[in-house]
Amino acid sequence: MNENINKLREEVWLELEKIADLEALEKFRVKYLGKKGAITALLRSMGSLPKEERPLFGKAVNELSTEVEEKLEEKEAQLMEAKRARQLAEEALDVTLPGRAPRLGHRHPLKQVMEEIEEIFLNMGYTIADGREVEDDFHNFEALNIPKDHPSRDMQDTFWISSDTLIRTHTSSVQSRVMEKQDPPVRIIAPGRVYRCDDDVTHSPMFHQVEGLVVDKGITFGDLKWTLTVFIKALFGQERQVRFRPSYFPFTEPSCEVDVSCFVCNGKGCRLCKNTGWIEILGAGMVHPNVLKIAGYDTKVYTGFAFGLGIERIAMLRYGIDDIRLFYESDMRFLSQF
Amino acid sequence: MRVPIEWLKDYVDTDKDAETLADLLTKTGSEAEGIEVLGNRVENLVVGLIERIEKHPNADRLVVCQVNVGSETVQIVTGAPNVEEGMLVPVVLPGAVLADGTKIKAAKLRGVESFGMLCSKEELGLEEKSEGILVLPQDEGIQPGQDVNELLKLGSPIVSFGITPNRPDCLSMVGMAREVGIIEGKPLRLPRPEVSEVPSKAADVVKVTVKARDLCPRYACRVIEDVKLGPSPLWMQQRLIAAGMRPINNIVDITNYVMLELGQPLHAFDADKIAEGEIIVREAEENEVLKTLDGVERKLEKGMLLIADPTQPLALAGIMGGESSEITESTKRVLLESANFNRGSIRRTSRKLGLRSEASSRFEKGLDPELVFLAADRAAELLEKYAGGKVYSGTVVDGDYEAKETVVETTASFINRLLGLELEKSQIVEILTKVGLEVASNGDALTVKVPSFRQDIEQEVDLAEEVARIYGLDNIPDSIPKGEIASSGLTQLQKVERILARELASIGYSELITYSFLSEKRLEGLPGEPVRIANPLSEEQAVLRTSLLPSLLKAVETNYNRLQKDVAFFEIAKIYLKSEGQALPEEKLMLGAALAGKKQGYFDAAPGDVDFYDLKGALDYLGSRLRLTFDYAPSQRPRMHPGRCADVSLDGRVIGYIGQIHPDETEEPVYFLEIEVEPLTKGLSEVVVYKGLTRFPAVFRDIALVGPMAVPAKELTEAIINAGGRHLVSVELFDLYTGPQVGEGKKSLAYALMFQSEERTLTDSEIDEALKNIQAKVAEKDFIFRA
Repeated sequence: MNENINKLREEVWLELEKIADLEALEKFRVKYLGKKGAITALLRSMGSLPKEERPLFGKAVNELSTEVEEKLEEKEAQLMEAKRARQLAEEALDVTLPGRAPRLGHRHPLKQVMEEIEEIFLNMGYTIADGREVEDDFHNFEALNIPKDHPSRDMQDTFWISSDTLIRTHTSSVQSRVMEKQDPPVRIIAPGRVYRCDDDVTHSPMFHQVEGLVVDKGITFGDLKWTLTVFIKALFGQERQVRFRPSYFPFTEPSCEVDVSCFVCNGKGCRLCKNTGWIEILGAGMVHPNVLKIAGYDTKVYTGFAFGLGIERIAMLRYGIDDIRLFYESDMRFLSQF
Repeated sequence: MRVPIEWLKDYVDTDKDAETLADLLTKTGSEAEGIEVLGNRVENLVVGLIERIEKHPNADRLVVCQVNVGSETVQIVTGAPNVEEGMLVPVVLPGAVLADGTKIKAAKLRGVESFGMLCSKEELGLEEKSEGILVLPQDEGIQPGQDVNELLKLGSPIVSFGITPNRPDCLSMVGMAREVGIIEGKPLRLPRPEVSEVPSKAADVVKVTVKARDLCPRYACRVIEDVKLGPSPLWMQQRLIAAGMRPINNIVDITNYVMLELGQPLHAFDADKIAEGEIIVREAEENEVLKTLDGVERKLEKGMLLIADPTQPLALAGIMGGESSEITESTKRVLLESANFNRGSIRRTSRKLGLRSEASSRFEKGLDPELVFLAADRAAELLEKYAGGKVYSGTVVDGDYEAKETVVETTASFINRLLGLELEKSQIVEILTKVGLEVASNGDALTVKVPSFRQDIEQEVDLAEEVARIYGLDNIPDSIPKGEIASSGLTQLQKVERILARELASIGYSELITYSFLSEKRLEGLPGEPVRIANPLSEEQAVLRTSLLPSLLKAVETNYNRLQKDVAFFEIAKIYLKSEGQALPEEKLMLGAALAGKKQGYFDAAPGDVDFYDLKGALDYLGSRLRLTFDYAPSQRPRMHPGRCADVSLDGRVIGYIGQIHPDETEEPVYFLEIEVEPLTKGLSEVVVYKGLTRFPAVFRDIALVGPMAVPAKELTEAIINAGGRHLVSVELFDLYTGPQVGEGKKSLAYALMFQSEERTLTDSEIDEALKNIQAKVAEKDFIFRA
């Protein structure tokens, strides 16, 4: 009888070897371990054996049965794994195909620069003031110590609405508006649109400025220097040099212009800085006492400084843009670069 | 202001080179804008004397010259039309290289040997375009063989300075020399004119009457007889060229030279063309006419300042002379005007007439009346010397000018306090004295007398500026501003503006900045009358916009025409609305957005067209971000599709609209919205209070409703919410169907409903009850539940 078992064992192993899929494996299970299976049949045939042989035979068949079950499980696991691997292989993607990205929106380069400047001053405790764009002569000129017939009105070719109203030529008009409304201390910046009758590659009839104004007890020119140095280094890099040159604005005295060492040539001289090593960034100065007086501030107690800069200029320098009109043309080929 | 350094050195000693001077003057307030050199320096450039001219044997247009160049006589072939025997001309000898790279070498020209080249001003870089070669003067002792580079100062440096409008005194060589002297501690050498007057008295032939006494504080003139019109001396021409002016003739050149030297504009009249020899300085009558030197007939307005004689206007004071009294070949006597005019008057007139000149740009900044006599004498001296003139004795003057002393009181501590310095009083006094002020001190107090050439110094702060610029701005120590910081950060409006911009950019909209002004035509149909610009650059920029629509539409069109049809834009900017009874218009911050073309496509999904709901979805998204819920109601708006436009409101107030731009206006559909930004700040101040999460399960039911097409979805949604009871916590529309299955004129709307209680698990019968109520409610709108 043991021969039968051994023979069956050999047959089983041979067949199991050949099985390659789960379906065949199931058939195999039925064939040998099913109710009508060969091993089951062997067990059943035990009744026909002499009583004394039965235990031994039974044990041998059971052993075979367990053995087959174990092998079968093993095989099943193998096949399952192979099947899963095949499945995964079939699911493989071309990971180099482009992703489904949402459409990219772009912030305007001028707004990016403007917000960057705003952040620097917000961190220094400034408030952002808003001002009118359509202004009267008083707030745009007179209150800033620019009476009628003042030569510096020529520097700012004005768009007039009527003999007394205009669209502001500079954000400095916010100075007079803020001081009219508020008592010192004042610590504001005022970004926004300004307008001048000028239209070429470097001038636009509409452009943007940021004005700054600080008025308090004991504000000095040294305070102005510290503030603007911190600002310029924050904007252009800590390694930059800052230079202050005396200049003239009707609403400040002393006045200065502030240059940053050229960030292309590091001050050696190049086209961008016209071989001077310096790039002019902003105008500033101590608020003229006439301006403080018009605002009703006590000039014996309060001093202040003011500054102003052009956003387009900064953006053009930073991105190497040579035609100012690109900013307002709304061409996606331009906008999508920022 | 172009300053030839060699000229500057006439008035001050300095051994600094141009670069150093440029830097030093920049640091003290005269910004150097560039350094260039005069003309082109050329090797082997000498004076040649043309001894003989012969015809070229083989060429009609060429001549063969024998030219004495000092050490030898060389043969030079030239095509110049203006050569004559006996002329002195610049000659480049072989071995030199011209500025344009031309190498000069001995060569044969049509078979005749030539050993050099005769030069024009153009080749020496002294003018743009020359007709013939440069002829050097005979009577100035110029010798053949002399170095022309030296003679014409070729290659000498010229520094261009940007002079600020408060410093008209620096618009002259003397003024700039004074600045150099201050920096270098060197004295200024003012010209001291010496005039040998003839016995004839100016006062016998000329009378000056200043009628407009406010506008002309001082009017002086000298009379010079027997002037001979001709070229000015070579050195003067060279200096004028270097300073950026074109030499014309000796008389014009001398007035220009003195203006550049001293800063005082002068004018020369033909004295014999002045009726009765009387100069009248008066205001023009309305519609008086004057033909100015540029040949233009100018209609004058009342109040413009005129120089006239008893019969007619002669010149626009301080701006430009008139043709009738112009200097000509036949001029025998010159009346030389040196005057001081009111700056405001000159500025107004010059602007009104659109006429600016070197003179007016100086007068309108305010000149020192003390310059008047010095300049008149200096010009008289030069006219005597270089135009053969005889100067009548005396100067005829009128005007109310009186030298008055400007005194400014300040203290050393004020100056230190303003600048953030701790200078000794003596240091401050030293600096102020250096710049030419007279300082008396008494304790901390300083009493400062201001000389007339510094009309800009009026107040204490002006003195502080002098100290600052001479001490050096870079030497002032930086200091952190003291005082409390009272910042409140961004305002609500600023916060909303930033959120809108960032969120829109993050969902694919690109930010625009477009002009606030446009042509009135582009606002056509939109409500409200725009604010008009009185002096626009063009009709395209004539009015301020009352809506962002035209600008955004134009942006879409611009890109469409450049084959970028799929665009999503936004702009946050002001519109300008005339407000009744107010001088200034209302400025309202708006959000505008435009959407056109296709959605984003992918490699496996062809992009569909954008539509109304894409833009509306973006707006609702912004609303959610800002904790706001917008209401939409169908509306008719100008320039919008009549069936595809909705008013957008917040808390019952219409704040804008959204829709498709009228298809008559666009090639392909463009969707647009415009809403006010200010109302959107409301959600920011809302305090968020957390609500507990219920542990009882939610029950989901989908329902489909079929009914008339015309009923807006919003009405059904509201009906469902109203009828659904307090446990109905969410209603989502997830499908819209129209078609044969529901019948013509009908639509099917499918909603996902969610019911939930915070106290218990809901029973089926409760849900069924709610659905029954909903069914009844929608039935009122002729909608039935669809199985």
